[in-house]
Amino acid sequence: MSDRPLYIEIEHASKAFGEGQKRNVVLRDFSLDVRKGEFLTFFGPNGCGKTTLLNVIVGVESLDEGSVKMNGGTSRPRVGYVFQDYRGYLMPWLTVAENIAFPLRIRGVSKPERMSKVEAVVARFQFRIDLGAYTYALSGGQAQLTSILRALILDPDILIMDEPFSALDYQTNLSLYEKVLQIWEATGVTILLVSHDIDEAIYLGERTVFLTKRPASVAAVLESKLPAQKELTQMGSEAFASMKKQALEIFRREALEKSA
Amino acid sequence: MRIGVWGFALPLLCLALWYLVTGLKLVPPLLVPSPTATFRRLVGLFLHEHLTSDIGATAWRWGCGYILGCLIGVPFGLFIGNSRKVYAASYPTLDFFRSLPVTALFPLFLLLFGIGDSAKIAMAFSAALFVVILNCAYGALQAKETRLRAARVFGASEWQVFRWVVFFEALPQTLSGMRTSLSLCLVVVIVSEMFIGTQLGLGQRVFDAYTVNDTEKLYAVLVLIGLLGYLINRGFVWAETRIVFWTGK
Repeated sequence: MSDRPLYIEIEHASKAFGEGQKRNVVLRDFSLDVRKGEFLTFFGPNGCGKTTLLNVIVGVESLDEGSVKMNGGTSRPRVGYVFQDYRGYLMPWLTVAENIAFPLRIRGVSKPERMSKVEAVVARFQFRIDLGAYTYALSGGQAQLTSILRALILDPDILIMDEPFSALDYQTNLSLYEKVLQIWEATGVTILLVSHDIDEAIYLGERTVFLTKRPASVAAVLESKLPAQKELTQMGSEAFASMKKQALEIFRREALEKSA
Repeated sequence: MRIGVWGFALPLLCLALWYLVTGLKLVPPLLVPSPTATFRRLVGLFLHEHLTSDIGATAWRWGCGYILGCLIGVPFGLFIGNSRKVYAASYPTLDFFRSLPVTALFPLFLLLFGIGDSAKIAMAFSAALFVVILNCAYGALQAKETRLRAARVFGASEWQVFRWVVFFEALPQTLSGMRTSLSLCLVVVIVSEMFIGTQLGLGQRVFDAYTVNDTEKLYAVLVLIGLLGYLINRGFVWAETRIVFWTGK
């Protein structure tokens, strides 16, 4: 992994909202390096400031202190987003194809060109999805797949996934894990995935960043011990069990004991 | 929402009751004429008294006032609802004008527009305008925050967010406001025709029938107005469910 170049450098980042009594520190002295093409997962207690962290990374939110450097500060990366509430973030009046093409439409791409790009991205990952359907008629898994494809249509440098699987059932999640890994391997995109599920976080991530309670800082970083070629059965392996044990210890120390 | 066969049961019952009450002479025919006499009179009005011209005149005022009201009300309402601040600032004023019965303002309209068509069209227009504005504004205000955010994170400008998200998010409420004001406009046109007076128009027919105690004619025109309003509303609902096909799903 260390052969890949540094891509995102977050140094001593701090961010607070509000003033005086209502001042709410969300990030405190947060430092993290991400390498290009890395699959990084974030795990932390509810409301610890994960969304603020993601906003800061992509520059939607500015910092009070510290800095975020992208690609050595040379260029702004293209970012694709996938959100937890897929129904809320998809447009029910558009077909699956038009939803996927929405970011292209914003950029003024003509309809025939949009449709051919959509077909290309679906074909590239060999996804099975009804492009002519409306999103309200889709299952949760298919709807979330639509938002994943929408995030990929601009060929992003960074794919941000904010608890993408929290609202779906287990079976659907397993099949989407495979699809996300397949996308990651095929495109080399840098993935930042926030998760609520400890198994999911350590299975998917090359590294898992454990966050402290608000204000968020890095509690620990866990390197994956799983083979590079991932298979769902690895979730039952000894390596996985030992990672999970470590993860639970970190979590107990950070989330449970410190609040007592 | 399908009404189906049951939707016809109550109207048939009312009709049967009407037959019964008049057939048994429970009320004097001067107060309630029989359905047969009423419908015969209605046909007669079409055949011998140029009722189609009256329908045309009323429909013209109704259509002009309504369409103008929508053309101005929809964009204006969406603009107001697009910003929480603008909405908060303009809501009390708009709600005041909406609450004011247009029909009570007819002397004002007479002064401003004279006794011709323009006064009646202006009344229908004002009736439609505020209902449409408030509904559109509310619809736009209720646009789902997540969808606005989705468009923004993919780089949409405020105008693109408005055109491709806010407009569609507001559309169900917009159409619901347009449907409400469609019926309201008919009421206002009929009343304005009765108050202000005119050569042709269904309201004038109702008023004429009333002044000479021609209750058969009065009932015939009333039945016609009711049917017209009903059919147009059904047509609107039919189109509405197809335009905003995604609602409730």
